[in-house]
Amino acid sequence: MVGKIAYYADLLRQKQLSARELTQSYLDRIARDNPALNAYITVAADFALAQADAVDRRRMAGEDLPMLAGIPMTVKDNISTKGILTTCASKILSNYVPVFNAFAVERIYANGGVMLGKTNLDEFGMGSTCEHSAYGATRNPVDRTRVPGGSSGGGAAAVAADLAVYALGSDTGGSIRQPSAFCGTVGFKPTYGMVSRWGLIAYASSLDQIGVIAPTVEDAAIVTDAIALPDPMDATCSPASRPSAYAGLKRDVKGLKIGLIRNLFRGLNPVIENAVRAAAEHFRTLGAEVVEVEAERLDLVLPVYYILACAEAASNLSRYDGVRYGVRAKGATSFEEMVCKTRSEGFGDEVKRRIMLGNYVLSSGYFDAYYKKAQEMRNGLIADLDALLRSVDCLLAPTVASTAFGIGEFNSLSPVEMYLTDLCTVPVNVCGLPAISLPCGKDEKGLPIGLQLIGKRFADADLLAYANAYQTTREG
Amino acid sequence: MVEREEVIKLARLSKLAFSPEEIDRFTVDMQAIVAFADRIAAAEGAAEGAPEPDSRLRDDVVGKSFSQEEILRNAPGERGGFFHLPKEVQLW
Repeated sequence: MVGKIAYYADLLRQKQLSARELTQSYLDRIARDNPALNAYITVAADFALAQADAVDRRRMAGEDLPMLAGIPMTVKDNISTKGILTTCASKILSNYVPVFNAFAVERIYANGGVMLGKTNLDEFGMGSTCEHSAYGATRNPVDRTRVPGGSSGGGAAAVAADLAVYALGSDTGGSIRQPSAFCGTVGFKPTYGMVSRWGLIAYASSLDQIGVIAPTVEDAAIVTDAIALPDPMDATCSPASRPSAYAGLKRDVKGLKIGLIRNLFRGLNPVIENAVRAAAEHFRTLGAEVVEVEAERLDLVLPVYYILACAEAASNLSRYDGVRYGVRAKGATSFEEMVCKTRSEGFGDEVKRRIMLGNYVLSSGYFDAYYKKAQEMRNGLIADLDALLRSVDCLLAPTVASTAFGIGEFNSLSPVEMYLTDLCTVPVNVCGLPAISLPCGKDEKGLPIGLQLIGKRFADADLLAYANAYQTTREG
Repeated sequence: MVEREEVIKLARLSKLAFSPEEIDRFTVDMQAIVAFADRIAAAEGAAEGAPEPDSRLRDDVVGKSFSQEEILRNAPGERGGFFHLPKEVQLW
């Protein structure tokens, strides 16, 4: 299996293809398919072609260029791109043009990457279907009557439909992994602290992490090497050096010990369970040992996550007041009214719900019972998963307990029923661990099923190697 | 149980304005979500346990920053190099 980046990098290096030709082919496909899929909020055609031309000039001058040079990619619209509209899929930022690039975006550009545009998401990253966007829902390329998942649904749809070679996304509770599972792509969320959050528009600062959606694990590894570097602009970004994920990718997994998280298989759809257990069996044929493990407090991870994430979101989204950036509501006769009107008109219902819950758990009288308790539970969950990871090399679970939902299907669910669908992905963010979703089969309707591998903190290169071993030895 | 009056107060704290129907709707949603959050009440956590982040603060040295023009570029209201807002005067 050849990774897509390496394949095109080779053609570009041999000058069989120019960066402009490759970029134009992607722009043509976007023009043809994006109206139906709505993966992109903004297509930056002139910008992308200018970047491609710059890469071509450097190559013609004899420069030896990085592997990502000339490769067309896309960026989730909650990641800052200088001079290019960045909306977070919200009305409140519908006119916001950042004056700086996110660190991860700068790294892509420094490697000669070509940015095709900005992809759709659930507003401010809050959602699991890419339907909570002020710019319309994105459709799943595998079945256009279904959602691509969320919140990085636009990026996953773009990669699955070959409207970008790879995408930068963000993951706070599963927002890279779940849409990757639904669309049949690889989705990698690095360890919290591996990739700088400078320029990622914050949802929940102790949970957010930028990651990669790509066709193969090899592609994800190449992009991770480019973006996972120390950055003094993010105090939570580790200053330690990181081993190359790409250099260490091809590894024998004989003797690898994998823990299958039993809690996450209870009540699971049999089709999903069979596919994920078949993946575990495949690891056994490669010489790995798979044991069943149980994470003690995992059943409570969802309320813990939603309390902490909403508390942080309420704080982070208090900056949207119509004063310094974004839209400002008209017709207000006082400052207070301007702020209220701006926020009420600018935010969607799910964002408002999470802000309200966040302020509830932070308010006096409830702080100890909810926020402080959730922090203590978080410590307990970290201890539980760390204990498991001392006895195994990585953990295995489904990415999601279902395949892609139908468009509008979530509308019939209550908010709590919606939140329950995040059970398999959320523990990873609460504990700050790296995790990857990779395709492991299809259901009876032909919809992709996602397998999730969870690694040890800062052992991202190891995790990618395990995932690569599975993907490159699996048929179909 | 989250009461309607609490939701009205929360809306004020959150700087959000709702219609009476929206207050009713959010009250129902909040009741369900808070009942969901209540599941952690009886469980046992740990006072400590999260790994210490390896974060290092930058030196307190003046460096390059954004220009006034860049900062004001996205301002919904600007006058004379300042953010311009609706006038608010407290009457005596």
